[in-house]
Amino acid sequence: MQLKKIEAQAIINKLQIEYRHKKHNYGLLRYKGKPILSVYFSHGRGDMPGKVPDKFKQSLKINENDFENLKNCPLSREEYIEILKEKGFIR
Amino acid sequence: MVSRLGELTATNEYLSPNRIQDKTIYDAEDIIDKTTETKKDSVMYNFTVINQKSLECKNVFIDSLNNEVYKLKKPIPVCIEYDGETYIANNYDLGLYGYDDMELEAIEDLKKSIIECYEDLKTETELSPILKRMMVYYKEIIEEK
Repeated sequence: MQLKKIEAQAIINKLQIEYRHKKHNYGLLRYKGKPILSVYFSHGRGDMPGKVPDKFKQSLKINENDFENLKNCPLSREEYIEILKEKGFIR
Repeated sequence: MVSRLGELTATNEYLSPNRIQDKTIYDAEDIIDKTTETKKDSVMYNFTVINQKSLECKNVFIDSLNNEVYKLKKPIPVCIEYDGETYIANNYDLGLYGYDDMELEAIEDLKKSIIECYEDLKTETELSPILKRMMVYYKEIIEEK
Protein backbone atom coordinates (compact mmCIF):
# COMPACT_ATOMS: atom_id res chain seq x y z
CA MET A 1 0.00 0.00 0.00
CA GLN A 2 1.29 3.43 -0.93
CA LEU A 3 0.33 6.64 0.79
CA LYS A 4 1.62 10.14 0.35
CA LYS A 5 2.06 12.23 3.47
CA ILE A 6 -0.25 14.83 1.96
CA GLU A 7 -2.97 12.14 1.68
CA ALA A 8 -2.36 11.13 5.29
CA GLN A 9 -2.60 14.79 6.29
CA ALA A 10 -5.96 15.02 4.49
CA ILE A 11 -7.21 12.02 6.51
CA ILE A 12 -5.92 13.60 9.74
CA ASN A 13 -7.74 16.83 8.88
CA LYS A 14 -10.96 15.06 7.92
CA LEU A 15 -11.02 13.06 11.16
CA GLN A 16 -10.15 16.22 13.13
CA ILE A 17 -7.25 14.53 14.88
CA GLU A 18 -5.53 17.01 17.18
CA TYR A 19 -1.78 17.35 17.59
CA ARG A 20 -0.57 19.15 20.68
CA HIS A 21 2.47 20.37 18.78
CA LYS A 22 3.23 20.62 15.06
CA LYS A 23 6.35 18.50 15.48
CA HIS A 24 4.62 15.76 17.46
CA ASN A 25 4.20 12.30 15.96
CA TYR A 26 1.05 11.36 17.85
CA GLY A 27 -2.30 13.06 17.93
CA LEU A 28 -5.60 12.24 19.59
CA LEU A 29 -8.91 11.48 17.96
CA ARG A 30 -11.66 12.88 20.16
CA TYR A 31 -15.34 12.11 20.31
CA LYS A 32 -17.54 14.35 22.42
CA GLY A 33 -14.38 15.80 23.91
CA LYS A 34 -13.10 12.42 25.09
CA PRO A 35 -9.87 11.02 23.59
CA ILE A 36 -10.57 7.78 21.74
CA LEU A 37 -7.47 6.84 19.78
CA SER A 38 -3.86 7.83 19.53
CA VAL A 39 -2.85 8.18 15.88
CA TYR A 40 0.66 8.39 14.47
CA PHE A 41 1.53 10.84 11.74
CA SER A 42 4.97 11.88 10.57
CA HIS A 43 4.95 15.40 9.19
CA GLY A 44 6.77 16.35 6.02
CA ARG A 45 6.57 15.69 2.32
CA GLY A 46 6.77 12.74 -0.04
CA ASP A 47 5.55 9.19 0.35
CA MET A 48 5.26 7.31 3.60
CA PRO A 49 7.99 4.71 3.17
CA GLY A 50 7.76 0.92 3.21
CA LYS A 51 5.21 -0.61 5.57
CA VAL A 52 4.54 2.69 7.37
CA PRO A 53 1.17 3.28 5.62
CA ASP A 54 0.05 -0.09 7.02
CA LYS A 55 1.03 1.05 10.51
CA PHE A 56 -0.87 4.29 9.98
CA LYS A 57 -3.92 2.30 8.88
CA GLN A 58 -3.59 0.00 11.90
CA SER A 59 -3.46 2.97 14.27
CA LEU A 60 -6.80 4.10 12.81
CA LYS A 61 -8.24 0.61 13.61
CA ILE A 62 -9.83 0.11 10.21
CA ASN A 63 -9.49 -2.43 7.41
CA GLU A 64 -8.06 -1.88 3.95
CA ASN A 65 -11.45 -1.21 2.35
CA ASP A 66 -12.49 1.40 4.92
CA PHE A 67 -9.06 2.97 4.72
CA GLU A 68 -9.35 3.33 0.95
CA ASN A 69 -12.77 4.92 1.43
CA LEU A 70 -11.30 7.26 3.99
CA LYS A 71 -8.45 8.16 1.63
CA ASN A 72 -10.69 8.63 -1.40
CA CYS A 73 -13.21 10.73 0.51
CA PRO A 74 -16.52 8.72 0.58
CA LEU A 75 -16.08 7.87 4.27
CA SER A 76 -16.85 10.83 6.53
CA ARG A 77 -15.74 11.39 10.12
CA GLU A 78 -19.25 10.50 11.33
CA GLU A 79 -19.20 7.19 9.41
CA TYR A 80 -15.71 6.47 10.72
CA ILE A 81 -16.94 7.09 14.29
CA GLU A 82 -19.77 4.61 13.62
CA ILE A 83 -17.19 1.99 12.57
CA LEU A 84 -15.26 2.56 15.80
CA LYS A 85 -18.50 2.18 17.78
CA GLU A 86 -19.28 -1.10 16.02
CA LYS A 87 -15.79 -2.35 16.85
CA GLY A 88 -16.21 -1.37 20.51
CA PHE A 89 -13.58 1.37 20.60
CA ILE A 90 -16.27 3.87 21.56
CA ARG A 91 -18.86 3.00 24.21
CA MET B 1 21.86 -12.70 2.21
CA VAL B 2 23.45 -10.63 4.95
CA SER B 3 20.97 -9.28 7.47
CA ARG B 4 21.30 -5.55 7.94
CA LEU B 5 19.48 -5.88 11.22
CA GLY B 6 22.18 -8.20 12.44
CA GLU B 7 24.92 -5.67 11.86
CA LEU B 8 23.63 -3.12 14.33
CA THR B 9 24.11 -2.83 18.06
CA ALA B 10 22.97 -0.28 20.62
CA THR B 11 24.72 0.50 23.88
CA ASN B 12 21.54 1.15 25.83
CA GLU B 13 19.64 -1.91 24.70
CA TYR B 14 19.36 -5.35 26.16
CA LEU B 15 19.53 -8.16 23.72
CA SER B 16 16.69 -10.40 24.65
CA PRO B 17 17.94 -13.84 25.70
CA ASN B 18 16.43 -16.57 23.59
CA ARG B 19 13.46 -14.42 22.72
CA ILE B 20 11.74 -15.67 19.65
CA GLN B 21 9.90 -13.41 17.27
CA ASP B 22 6.42 -14.04 18.55
CA LYS B 23 4.12 -11.53 16.95
CA THR B 24 4.20 -9.94 13.55
CA ILE B 25 1.11 -8.38 12.05
CA TYR B 26 0.56 -8.79 8.35
CA ASP B 27 -2.29 -7.69 6.18
CA ALA B 28 -4.94 -10.31 5.54
CA GLU B 29 -4.24 -10.27 1.83
CA ASP B 30 -0.51 -10.73 2.27
CA ILE B 31 0.83 -14.10 1.29
CA ILE B 32 3.60 -15.38 3.49
CA ASP B 33 5.80 -17.35 1.14
CA LYS B 34 8.60 -18.34 3.47
CA THR B 35 9.82 -17.71 7.00
CA THR B 36 13.25 -18.60 8.28
CA GLU B 37 14.72 -18.06 11.71
CA THR B 38 18.35 -17.74 12.66
CA LYS B 39 19.92 -17.30 16.06
CA LYS B 40 23.00 -15.20 16.67
CA ASP B 41 24.32 -13.76 19.94
CA SER B 42 21.13 -14.81 21.75
CA VAL B 43 18.93 -12.82 19.38
CA MET B 44 16.44 -14.60 17.20
CA TYR B 45 16.20 -13.05 13.76
CA ASN B 46 13.16 -13.71 11.68
CA PHE B 47 13.31 -13.41 7.92
CA THR B 48 9.97 -13.54 6.14
CA VAL B 49 9.12 -13.29 2.47
CA ILE B 50 5.70 -11.70 1.92
CA ASN B 51 4.41 -11.35 -1.61
CA GLN B 52 8.00 -11.97 -2.70
CA LYS B 53 9.20 -8.97 -0.67
CA SER B 54 11.43 -9.60 2.31
CA LEU B 55 10.68 -8.45 5.85
CA GLU B 56 13.23 -8.93 8.58
CA CYS B 57 12.28 -8.72 12.24
CA LYS B 58 14.12 -8.84 15.51
CA ASN B 59 13.18 -8.23 19.12
CA VAL B 60 15.25 -6.20 21.53
CA PHE B 61 14.61 -4.54 24.88
CA ILE B 62 15.22 -0.86 25.60
CA ASP B 63 15.84 0.35 29.13
CA SER B 64 16.04 4.09 28.56
CA LEU B 65 13.97 6.84 26.98
CA ASN B 66 16.93 9.20 26.62
CA ASN B 67 14.83 11.91 28.19
CA GLU B 68 15.54 14.46 30.94
CA VAL B 69 12.12 14.13 32.57
CA TYR B 70 11.04 10.53 32.16
CA LYS B 71 12.66 7.16 32.67
CA LEU B 72 11.61 3.57 32.30
CA LYS B 73 10.93 1.51 35.41
CA LYS B 74 11.78 -1.66 33.53
CA PRO B 75 13.02 -2.63 30.07
CA ILE B 76 10.33 -2.78 27.42
CA PRO B 77 10.27 -4.96 24.29
CA VAL B 78 10.71 -3.44 20.86
CA CYS B 79 10.16 -5.35 17.63
CA ILE B 80 12.22 -3.91 14.79
CA GLU B 81 11.08 -4.60 11.25
CA TYR B 82 13.15 -3.90 8.16
CA ASP B 83 11.62 -4.19 4.69
CA GLY B 84 14.73 -3.28 2.72
CA GLU B 85 13.89 0.41 2.85
CA THR B 86 12.68 1.46 6.28
CA TYR B 87 13.20 0.39 9.87
CA ILE B 88 10.04 0.39 11.95
CA ALA B 89 10.42 0.06 15.73
CA ASN B 90 7.20 -1.21 17.32
CA ASN B 91 6.03 -1.59 20.88
CA TYR B 92 2.95 -3.77 20.63
CA ASP B 93 1.90 -3.30 24.26
CA LEU B 94 1.36 0.41 23.66
CA GLY B 95 0.52 0.07 19.98
CA LEU B 96 3.12 2.71 19.16
CA TYR B 97 5.86 2.80 16.57
CA GLY B 98 8.59 4.97 15.14
CA TYR B 99 10.42 4.77 11.84
CA ASP B 100 13.47 5.93 9.99
CA ASP B 101 15.94 4.69 7.41
CA MET B 102 18.41 4.08 10.28
CA GLU B 103 17.66 1.48 12.92
CA LEU B 104 18.73 3.50 15.96
CA GLU B 105 16.85 6.55 14.70
CA ALA B 106 13.72 4.44 14.36
CA ILE B 107 14.12 3.44 18.02
CA GLU B 108 14.64 7.10 18.96
CA ASP B 109 11.49 8.00 17.02
CA LEU B 110 9.61 5.34 19.00
CA LYS B 111 10.97 6.72 22.29
CA LYS B 112 9.81 10.21 21.28
CA SER B 113 6.37 8.79 20.45
CA ILE B 114 6.17 6.99 23.81
CA ILE B 115 6.87 10.22 25.68
CA GLU B 116 4.58 12.41 23.57
CA CYS B 117 1.71 10.00 23.86
CA TYR B 118 2.18 9.70 27.64
CA GLU B 119 2.24 13.48 28.03
CA ASP B 120 -0.96 13.73 26.00
CA LEU B 121 -2.79 11.07 27.98
CA LYS B 122 -1.69 11.91 31.53
CA THR B 123 -3.50 15.25 31.44
CA GLU B 124 -6.79 13.68 30.33
CA THR B 125 -9.42 12.87 32.95
CA GLU B 126 -11.61 10.59 30.85
CA LEU B 127 -10.21 8.03 28.43
CA SER B 128 -11.62 5.47 26.02
CA PRO B 129 -11.16 1.77 26.92
CA ILE B 130 -8.16 1.35 24.62
CA LEU B 131 -6.43 4.46 25.98
CA LYS B 132 -7.20 3.37 29.56
CA ARG B 133 -5.36 0.13 28.87
CA MET B 134 -2.45 2.13 27.50
CA MET B 135 -2.32 4.23 30.66
CA VAL B 136 -2.34 1.10 32.85
CA TYR B 137 0.70 -0.13 30.97
CA TYR B 138 2.31 3.31 31.05
CA LYS B 139 2.04 3.32 34.84
CA GLU B 140 3.87 0.00 34.92
CA ILE B 141 6.77 1.18 32.81
CA ILE B 142 7.29 4.94 33.06
CA GLU B 143 8.03 7.42 35.84
CA GLU B 144 9.38 10.90 36.28
CA LYS B 145 13.02 11.23 37.33
